[in-house]
Amino acid sequence: MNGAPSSSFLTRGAVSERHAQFLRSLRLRQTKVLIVQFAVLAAFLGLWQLAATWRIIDPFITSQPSAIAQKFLELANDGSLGYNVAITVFETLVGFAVGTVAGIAIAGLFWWWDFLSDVADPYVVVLNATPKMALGPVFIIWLGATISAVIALAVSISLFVTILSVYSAFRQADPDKLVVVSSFGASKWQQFSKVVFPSAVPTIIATLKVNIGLSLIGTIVGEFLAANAGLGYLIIYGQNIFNMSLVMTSVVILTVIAGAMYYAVSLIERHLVPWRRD
Amino acid sequence: MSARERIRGEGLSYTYLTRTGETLALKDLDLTIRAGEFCSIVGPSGCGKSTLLGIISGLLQPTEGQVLLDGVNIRGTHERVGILLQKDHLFEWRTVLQNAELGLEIRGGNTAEARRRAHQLLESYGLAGFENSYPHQLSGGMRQRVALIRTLATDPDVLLLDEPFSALDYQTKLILERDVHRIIREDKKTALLVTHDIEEAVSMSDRVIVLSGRPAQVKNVYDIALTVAAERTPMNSRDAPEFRAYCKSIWEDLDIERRTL
Repeated sequence: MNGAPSSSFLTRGAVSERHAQFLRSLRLRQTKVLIVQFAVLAAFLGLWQLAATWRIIDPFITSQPSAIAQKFLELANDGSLGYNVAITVFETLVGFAVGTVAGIAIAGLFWWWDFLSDVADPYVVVLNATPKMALGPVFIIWLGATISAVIALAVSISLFVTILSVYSAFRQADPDKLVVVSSFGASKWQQFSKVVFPSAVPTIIATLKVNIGLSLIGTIVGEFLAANAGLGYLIIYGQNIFNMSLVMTSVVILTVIAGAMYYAVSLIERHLVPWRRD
Repeated sequence: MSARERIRGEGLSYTYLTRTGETLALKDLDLTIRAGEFCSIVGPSGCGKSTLLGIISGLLQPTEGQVLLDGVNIRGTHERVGILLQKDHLFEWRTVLQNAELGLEIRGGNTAEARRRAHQLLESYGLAGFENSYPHQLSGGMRQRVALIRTLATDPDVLLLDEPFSALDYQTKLILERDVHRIIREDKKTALLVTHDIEEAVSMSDRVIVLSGRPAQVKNVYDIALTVAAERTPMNSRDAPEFRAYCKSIWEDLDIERRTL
């Protein structure tokens, strides 16, 4: 280290005075963005709270941050927060896992046996275009007002789009790479495992990101329709008894869960696609 | 040079079928490649050179005729035959070493011994220290070198080269030509190069086969004898007194000017 090594986090790791300046301006900008992001949130919550306190808006209709915080603590203390979050997360993850794994497996089957894919094509396209919410009552009649019906809805919403996008990625695998492995005498399974599947990994990751959100939608709508537990149920229950704080608290928790799940998938991406890291 | 024949194509024909009809790419073509020989095939573009290479590699089944390797009819790809394509087609999700080991993995010969050879090849071709890099971190020449090592790692006796130098810049191309030429000489491999570059064909080969336009048939065969001071390389071949005459004669065979103008 030459020059004056600064202990400031703004210049940590600098190798020269010029580099320190560069790092300082880079990190200063990041810090500013972070500060303003927090300021926007604080201003929003503050204005909401004040507007409700001063009766500019009606807290009976809009609720307010203090009431939401209170409700949150109340739910946390009587154990219903953990229980309902666990139910929703469980249903979402099962729906996500089943929809994604089954979708990829069916896409693989279509790649393996393209006669099947040609036959199934119009059916998959139509099923994909069908609004899956319309199937909610069907699942409830078949499976009862149970967790299974909610999961079925969560699966149906991600399954067909997974089949279509992953199958299309399988088919777009570089034919020249297939020639390379064929020249080494690759079997069909080796073509799939060495070329076709790895080529589709970026698409599969993008599908995971979409599916986690879709499964959450399916779960919440399923809970609206049929459940007696879960955040979707809390929201509908809050609406029925006109308790806006309960509705808003559930929505806020849902937002945090959605963000956390998306972040988790991003972490998986960084682990699975190392060749794109830099 | 041994005069034993290594590869023999007999009465090869190939027809491409599509919805709109059929195209005859090869018609009743015979050719022989001797063991240890470096042989090139040149022909007008679209004449079916690559189709011929595809058939010899076993990736394409001839509509008629057969391919013999040391007198034995081969169908499908063969472990003694390796291919190097025009582009490197490295797998971007694999490191350099993993790419080099691809053929070994598929052939089931991914033993410690074979891995050591892949490692050694990487080292001797200037790729030491890049084993764990990803292809996008390499230059075009280095990438094609990895592709070459991927093929060589399975230790084929016959190398089929499908215009492997055509996508490279001029300097890189000359160096890679030199390396491939040396490998084939030193390891006593047999090589069949398909190219549209006449100078490349003459400078590297013992024999040049000129094909006619589609459907491809053998139009002329040249045994290349060049007077060079030291051991022959693609580099010093270009300075041999006979070099120009061969190129000119092949150029005339190809009849390119009349075809394209």
